[in-house]
Amino acid sequence: MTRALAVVVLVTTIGFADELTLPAPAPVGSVMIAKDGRIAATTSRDHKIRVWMLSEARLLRTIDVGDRHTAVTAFSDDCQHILVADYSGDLTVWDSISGEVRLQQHLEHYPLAAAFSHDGRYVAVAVGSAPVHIFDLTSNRIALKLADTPAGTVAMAFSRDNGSIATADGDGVVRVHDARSGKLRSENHDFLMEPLAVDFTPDAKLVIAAGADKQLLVIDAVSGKTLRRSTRMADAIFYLEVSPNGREVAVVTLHADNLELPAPIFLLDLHSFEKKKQWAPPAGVIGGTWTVDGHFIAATAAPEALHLVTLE
Amino acid sequence: MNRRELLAKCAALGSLTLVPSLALPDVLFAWEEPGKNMKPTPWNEVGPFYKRNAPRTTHLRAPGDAGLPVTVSGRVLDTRGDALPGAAIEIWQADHHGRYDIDGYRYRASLLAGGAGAYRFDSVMPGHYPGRVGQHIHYLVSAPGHKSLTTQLYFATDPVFEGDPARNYSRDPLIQSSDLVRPVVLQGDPKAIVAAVTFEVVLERL
Repeated sequence: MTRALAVVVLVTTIGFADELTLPAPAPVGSVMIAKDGRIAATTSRDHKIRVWMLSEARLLRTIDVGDRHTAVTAFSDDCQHILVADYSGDLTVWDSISGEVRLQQHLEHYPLAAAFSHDGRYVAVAVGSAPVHIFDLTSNRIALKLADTPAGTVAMAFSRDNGSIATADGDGVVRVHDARSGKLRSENHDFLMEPLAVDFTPDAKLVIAAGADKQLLVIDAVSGKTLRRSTRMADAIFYLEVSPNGREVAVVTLHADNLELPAPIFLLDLHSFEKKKQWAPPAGVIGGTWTVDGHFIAATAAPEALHLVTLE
Repeated sequence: MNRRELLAKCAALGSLTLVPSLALPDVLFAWEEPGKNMKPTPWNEVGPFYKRNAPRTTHLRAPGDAGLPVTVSGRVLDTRGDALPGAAIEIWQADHHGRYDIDGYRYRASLLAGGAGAYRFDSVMPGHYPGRVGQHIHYLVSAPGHKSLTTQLYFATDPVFEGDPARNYSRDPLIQSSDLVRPVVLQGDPKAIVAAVTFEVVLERL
């Protein structure tokens, strides 16, 4: 029996979480999880994307990405599109179902971040020091470029209505742009260190951002003003995502002293910042998302396995 | 009206015609800067852990700090080779153990280029840390009328390059150009060796 066939699935209840373990024929670098919680895609050191049906722990498809050093990955909400961009600036979007290439571009720099619009029509790519490019996947063309930023963009998110896009920029500024015209709507300069994560509330009125300042800022999307801020956390924050109902925010932290050491995940009440859940992963978190039914799934990897944990 | 504007106006009015293989911006650039073109310093990403408001100091190394002392010097120039005095330079790096100070400002500084565009600072050789391959010092450089630049300085003595950075620089996938890997000169007496590195920064005009 080959390792690839040795699918061992452990679905156990460990207090607050359900855990799913999948085999990893090669060390996994990143995990992208669809919003319905049914499908996940992994990038691995063997240069393959594997698409999994989580409910059956079944490997749906393997896509060979060639000999590429992956810089950025992204997954559309409907799990139809997978983006992989590498350090040579080559960007590819695949159809996860058919395995066909939907978009192929060579960028002038390697990208730092990518995000699909929630309708899956657009994908925004932060291209090094160049302005963020927004590609239209229906025409396979650049729909627009956002205004230039001095130090590039490290994280992005579309609003749920796809009308706005927020960028966490390397110069320490959070910017909100009109996603259709690219026009800058607001700026927030209240971070001392670079923000590393950003998201909108479902009504698109607020932007939540965080980074190495170790605290969450709630920002008015129109004015750019900071409305509230959390107390400082123990660790830097490198990923956050607002829950579908807008009541909670998932916060993934990292140890600044050792980026490979595991650091806790928190589910916080977005109004009070009270900790609703806390989970100490056994290894560094390599992916995570809220599902449409209100669970946060986090992924960690061991040398020969991928672990998914549901924080309810 | 300067030469560049005059040429652009001539082209707009039809008194200057370019062969199809020439683009007007390239002609303007070559006209204005014959023989003095310098390649802009390659971009490198800002992250991780840039922090604003770093103290104005040239001494990042404190007495007793662990690590090989290093002195970095250079000039900030434009693509014509002209000095950019007053250019603002922000630098930040990990300590000898590969740790960034994100709560304070250790190994973080802001500098101003001097009259000849010159700058200099004293620090320690940054350590390696998980998740990054090469030792590096981050730069954010800006000057009025020029495109701000984020980049990183790497060291030819880094073991990851195995003594041949021209061939092996891409072992750190973030290094897109060997221009960012600079030679290291060891100076001083055997009891107090200091590594000296020169790093010129060339900014593009807006």
